[in-house]
Amino acid sequence: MRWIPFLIFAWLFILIQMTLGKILTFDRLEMGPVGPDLLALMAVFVAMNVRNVIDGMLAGWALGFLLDLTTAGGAGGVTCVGPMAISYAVGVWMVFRLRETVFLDRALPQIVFAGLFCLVTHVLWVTAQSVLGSGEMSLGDYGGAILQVLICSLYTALLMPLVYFLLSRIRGWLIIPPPTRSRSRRSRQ
Amino acid sequence: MKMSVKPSRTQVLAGLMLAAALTSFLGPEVGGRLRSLVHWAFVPAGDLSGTMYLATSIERQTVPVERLSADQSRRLQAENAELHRRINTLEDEVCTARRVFRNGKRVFSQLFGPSDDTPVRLISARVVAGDSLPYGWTRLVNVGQKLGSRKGMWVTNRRLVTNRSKRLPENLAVLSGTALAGRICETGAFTARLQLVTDKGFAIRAQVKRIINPRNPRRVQIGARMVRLRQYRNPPVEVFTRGDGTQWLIAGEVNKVHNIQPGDILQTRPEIGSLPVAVDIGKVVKVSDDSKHPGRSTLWIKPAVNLPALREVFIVIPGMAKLGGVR
Repeated sequence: MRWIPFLIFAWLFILIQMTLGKILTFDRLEMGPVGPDLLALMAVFVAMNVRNVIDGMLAGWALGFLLDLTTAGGAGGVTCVGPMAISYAVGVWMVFRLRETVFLDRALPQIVFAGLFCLVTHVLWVTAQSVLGSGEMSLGDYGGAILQVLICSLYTALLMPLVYFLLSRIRGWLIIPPPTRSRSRRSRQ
Repeated sequence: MKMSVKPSRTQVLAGLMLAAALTSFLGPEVGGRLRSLVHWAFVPAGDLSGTMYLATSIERQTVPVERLSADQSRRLQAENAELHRRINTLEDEVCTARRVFRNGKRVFSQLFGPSDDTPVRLISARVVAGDSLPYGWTRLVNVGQKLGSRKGMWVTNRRLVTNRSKRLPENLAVLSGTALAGRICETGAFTARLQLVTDKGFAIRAQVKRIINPRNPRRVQIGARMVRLRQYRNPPVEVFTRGDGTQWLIAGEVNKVHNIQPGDILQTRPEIGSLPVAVDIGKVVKVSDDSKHPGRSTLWIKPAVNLPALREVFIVIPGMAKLGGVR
C-alpha cells in the first residue's frame, strides 16, 4: 500500500460522502434515509487489488475508523467509535479470501463483492450500535434497520463498477503493483 | 546484541483492533470526544463558500391534483386573494396585540420585579456536513464551544412561507415563525453536532396544542367531565415524544380522552429551563390506537422544519448558560 496517497484519497472520499454525496441520499423513504457508502467501494477496491491481506485489513481498519469518526447518529441513538473499524477489517479479509474465485475486471463480481461487503459490515455495525449505543432499541426497530442496510447495500453495490473503473485509473497511486515477470539479469546471463 | 523494537504489521493490526474494541465498549460519551477532535478536518471544506454541503429535499405530492376549468381557476384565485388579504389583516392585528402585550409586560417588569422576558440568546450557525452513514439524523454545524454552544442546547430554524431552494428576493417577508430543529449532542472547539428531532436518540417532553376548528367541534375531558373544546378552555396536553429514526416523531401512550386529532401542533413546553417559550416542533398527521395499552393512542408527528434541506439554524443559548450547564 502507498499509505500517504491512500489516506488522502480516503479523506477526499469521506468528505464527498458527508457533503456533496448527500445529493445521492433519499431521505423521504418510509424505512428511513437510504444512501451509498462510498468508503465501502474504496475498501472493496483495495481488497480486490492489494498484495498482502494484512495491508488490506489495515486499510480497511483506517476507512472504517474514518466512518466511525464521522457518524454520530445510528441504530441505537448516539453511536460509539470503533465497531465499523473492526467490521471493515473483517470485510476486507472476507473479500480478499473470495477474490481468487472470480475474474476481478468483470462488473458482476464487483457488484456482488461490494453488496456482500456492505451487507456484512453494516449489519455488524448496526448490531453493535444497537447493543452499545445510547438509545433504546426494540426488535422491530432492529428489523427496520436491517431492511435499511439491505437497501443501502444494494444501492452501494450498483455504484461499484463505476467507482472501480475510476479507481483503477489511479491504482498505481494507491497500491504498489505486483512484481512483473520479466527475466532477471542473472537468468539472462 | 541489537534488539528490534519495530512492530510487525500483524502486531500493528492487532493493536488497532484492540483499540477499536476498547473505544467501542467505552461507549458514546468517549466516541463523542474522539469525534469532536477530528471535526476540524472536515468543516473547512464543508463550509467552503457554503456550497459544498448539498442539502436537498424532494417532497412527494400526496394530494391528488384535479384539473380545473378556467372559471374554477379564476374563482379560486379570487378566493385566495381574499383569504390572503384576511390573513394579512389578522396578522397585523396579532402583531399589534403582541406589541401591546410586550410593552405592558416590560413596563410591569420594570415597575414590579425582575424581568420576565425570554432569557435566551440566539447564535446563527450553518450546517456544513451530514453523517457519513445514512442511518442517523445528525448534522455538523460551524459553531463550537468557542462561540458558546454546549451539549444539550436547543437548535431552532426560521420557518419560511416558501420552501423553494432558489435565492429569494431581498426585503421579501418570508418568515412565518420559529420551529425546533433538534439539539446539540456533541461539541468541539469550533464545531458542534446537531441531533435532529427525527433521530433515533432524540427525545423530548413536549405539549400538544389542540387546534379548534368551528366546523369540527370536539369534546374532551377536562377534570372529571366531558366538555366542548373552546379557545378559552384549551389546556395543552403533555406528551413524551421521541424520534423514530425515519422521518417522524412518535408520541406513545397518549390518553384518548384528550381527543388529539391530525392537524394539532406539537410544541416545546415553556417550563423547560433552556427554552422557556413554546416553539413549534411539528404537526400531528396520524393518530392510531395503541394495541398494547387500551384507551391510549399513538401520535405520528411530522417535523415543522424541512430537515433534509436544513441549512441555516439558530442555537438557543439560555440565560443561565453562564453557570455552566443546560437543563
